[in-house]
Amino acid sequence: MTSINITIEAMTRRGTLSGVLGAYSYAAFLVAGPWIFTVIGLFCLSAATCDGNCIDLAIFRSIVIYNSMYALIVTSPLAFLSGRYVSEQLHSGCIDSVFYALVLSLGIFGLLSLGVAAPFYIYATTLDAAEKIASIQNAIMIGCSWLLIPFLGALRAYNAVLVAFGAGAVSMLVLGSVLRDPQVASLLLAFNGSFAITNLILLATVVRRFGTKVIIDPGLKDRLGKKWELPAAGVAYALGLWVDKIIMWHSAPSGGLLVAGALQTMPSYDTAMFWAQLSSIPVIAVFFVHVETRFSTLVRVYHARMQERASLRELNEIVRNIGTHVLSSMFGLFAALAIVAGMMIMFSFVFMTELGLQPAYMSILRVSLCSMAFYTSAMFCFTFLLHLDLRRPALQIVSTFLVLNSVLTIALLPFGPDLYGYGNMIAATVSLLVGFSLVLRELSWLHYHAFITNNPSV
Amino acid sequence: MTARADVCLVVEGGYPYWVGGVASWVDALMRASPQLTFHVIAIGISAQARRRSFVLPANAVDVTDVLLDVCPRGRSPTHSDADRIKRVLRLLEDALTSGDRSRFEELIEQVRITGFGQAALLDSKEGWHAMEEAYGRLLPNGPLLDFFWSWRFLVRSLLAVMSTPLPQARVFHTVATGFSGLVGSYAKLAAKIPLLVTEHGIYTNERRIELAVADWLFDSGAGGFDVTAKPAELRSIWLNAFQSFSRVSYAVADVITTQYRANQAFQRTDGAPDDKLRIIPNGIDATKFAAIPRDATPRPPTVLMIGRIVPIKDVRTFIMAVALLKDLVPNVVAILIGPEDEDPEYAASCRQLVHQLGTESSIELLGRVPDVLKYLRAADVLALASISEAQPIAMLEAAATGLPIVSTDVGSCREIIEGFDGDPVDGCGGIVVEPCNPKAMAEALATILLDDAMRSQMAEVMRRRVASYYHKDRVTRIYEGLYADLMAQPAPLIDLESHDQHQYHH
Repeated sequence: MTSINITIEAMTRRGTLSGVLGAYSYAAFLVAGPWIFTVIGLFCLSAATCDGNCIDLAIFRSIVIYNSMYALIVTSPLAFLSGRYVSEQLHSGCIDSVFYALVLSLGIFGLLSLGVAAPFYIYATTLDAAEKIASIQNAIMIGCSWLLIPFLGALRAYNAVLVAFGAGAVSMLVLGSVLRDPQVASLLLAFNGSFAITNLILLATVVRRFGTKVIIDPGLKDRLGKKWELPAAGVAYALGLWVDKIIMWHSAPSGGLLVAGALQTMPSYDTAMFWAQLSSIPVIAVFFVHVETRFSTLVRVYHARMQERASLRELNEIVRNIGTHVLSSMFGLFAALAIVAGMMIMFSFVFMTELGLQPAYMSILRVSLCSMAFYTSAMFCFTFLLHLDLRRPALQIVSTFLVLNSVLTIALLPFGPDLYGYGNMIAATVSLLVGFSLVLRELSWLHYHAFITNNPSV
Repeated sequence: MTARADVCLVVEGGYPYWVGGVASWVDALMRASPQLTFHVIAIGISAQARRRSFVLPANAVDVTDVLLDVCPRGRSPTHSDADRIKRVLRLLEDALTSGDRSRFEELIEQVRITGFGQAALLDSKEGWHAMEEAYGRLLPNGPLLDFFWSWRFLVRSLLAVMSTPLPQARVFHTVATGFSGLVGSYAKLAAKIPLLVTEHGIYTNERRIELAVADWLFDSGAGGFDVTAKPAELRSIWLNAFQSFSRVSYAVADVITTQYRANQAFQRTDGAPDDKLRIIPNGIDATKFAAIPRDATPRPPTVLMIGRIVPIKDVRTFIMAVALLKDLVPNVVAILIGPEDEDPEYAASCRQLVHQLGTESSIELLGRVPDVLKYLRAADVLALASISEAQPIAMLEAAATGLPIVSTDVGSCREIIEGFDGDPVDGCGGIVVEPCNPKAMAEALATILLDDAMRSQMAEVMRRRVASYYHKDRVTRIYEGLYADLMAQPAPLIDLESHDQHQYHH
């Protein structure tokens, strides 16, 4: 990931508006491309004219929400692992099996979709045949996008990423404006078609770089055994993001929405949470472009000086610089997140209708924005640790959030709507504290990790 | 279970896998005493191929491999182990620096009690902390990476030594100090088995030479901008460690033998007590070699060199000497016999040098040959250019056949060629020259090759000296007597089987 960061930061230094916008857009798409794209899709297609009966739009939104959840949970472990694999392969200059890794992850995802998503839509929902097929297709489209992103990131193919998501977004906008009183199937087809354009461009970029030759890497299984924490962190991360929503959908005494026989959501909770999460993306882009880049540069300097036979005293000095950078940037980013949250709260009063919010949702939005500031900061800690290949402490952060988010959301449900979202916020706060203390602790052991924990020769 | 042996021979980097002087000596020692049984502990590292180059004699009951870079992981440490880990690592550091017998004994005991291995002492955070402290003491401001790998290898090798499964034997006989000396010391301290240490070359001297030319070591540059500072060197850490191993071995051994007098001075300097020191030369079958007839067929003047093609034999100096010798004896032929597989890079550089000097027509590099005697019979002089030797068997065998010798002044070569105090045989059997001096060697070879009378006289001196002092029957009797004396000591207090089980349990 180091070189990607440097590439993006270099774009910001071109001194042109297009360079700065491109850099931040690219960073945002790399971090949350499919999620942003999904929101754009929902926004555009929901704008299609609806004469009275808007149930189709509600079903469409529910399907996309379910598929977003399913795709993220299933693809995160695969994407975490394949992302690390392709980075390592590119670093070592041995890229023969990269396409195999993509085929393997897409194959696993395809099989899981046939085993999980397909039976769900076929047997559990009351959708008609075309809608069922389009729903399954939708799940696959979103998942493929998540699986392709790490490969594009490793390739530093920022133009391809921007073109792919740009083309998809334009398609959504056009289709959104063309569709009149659309049915679920046509909405899904429009959404899937746009996603397919994006995925095809992403896939073509990967194929152009790595070819289509499938060369099996027998070491991949060993890698999975040695780095099991990566997929585990992927699962915990994705589940942690969705677990409170799943609990709310199925356990909240009021505010639930059941469509198509099995698609249970809770618009008041979901909408607030989604906007809160979306509002963090600009700060995440800043983190990715500047903070992580500086961090990775410092870590690279550390390793280079170590290889150049630096003394312990000099290496200690570099570690102190890394620690200072982490501390100052964490405080700075948290402040930025708090400002964004505050602004969102103010804007939400003005643009309530445009954002799809209702007065009843506002307290949840406020809580979820606070939660967003803590959670995003915790994820920064998670990223720092993964950058140092400290997989277990990273897993600890996302596992803490997953467990606390589940337990506290359930525990606070009996206290009614006034405390909706508080479980998520407390979980995020504790996760940040855990993450921050882990980062500080592990940084003080950086020599140990560099020489022992992450040294393949030991 | 392996049968109990009379003697456990501990050999580092040689027998039964690598051909060499010491390895051949070990083989001959076992064959010379068929009534005794032997167990061999072969010390090496995992990267070395372990294909046997020797056929074990019938009285060798078994071979145990000790790989210095493979040590037990031991139990995983807990938070309460921090102080114990620190203590054991301090003892390990002492074993690498002080050469204190009692500290080494305490280390053995602590490792046994705690069950610590690599997991606790090297891979844990406490172990890292202790390494940083050791770095501060041993190589302050030096390159951390180099210290890390050196420390890791040395500690692992000590742990490997202390996890050696001790075979049932009545005497331990180590054929050097160093790691084999440590294994013997471990056997003596842990199981109270008598220990005999035999040094062919002085271990610390040989390692000093190796480290001086080692390309993986370099001046650390530690000391920063302080020009008056005397920077600690990584090389000194290794040298101190080897010296410490020798000191421990000398302190623990019951008897310390070497083959010639000059070595004893080094042993005393490294702390060997006078009352333990003995001299036992190498023995060869002098009668057999003396009976070999010289090849009388006409041939050009022939110089023979026998030895492994490795830097310590300084084959390049010999090649340069032959190039110079051609000016003095134009039709001279030089034959080089010895395996090239130990250091292929060096062997290639030797071949390249032959080509560069245009001596392809005068020098034959034959590699390993099935019958060395054929070449001994047909040579006029034996050359030896080593920068370090002990008491080379090849030289004694050549001398026994009646071959004059030109040798560098290393090890006991001067004693063999010129004799020693109390030597019943007068006269010189060759010429001794200084090491790394091709011109001196060329002149000495020319002197002998061009003077038939001198050559005959030197040949006779050599034959008689070897027959009187270096005869294997005499040497075998001395060793058997020594073994008998050591075996007569009280029996071991510890049952080895249960001792080993205790080790494995951890």
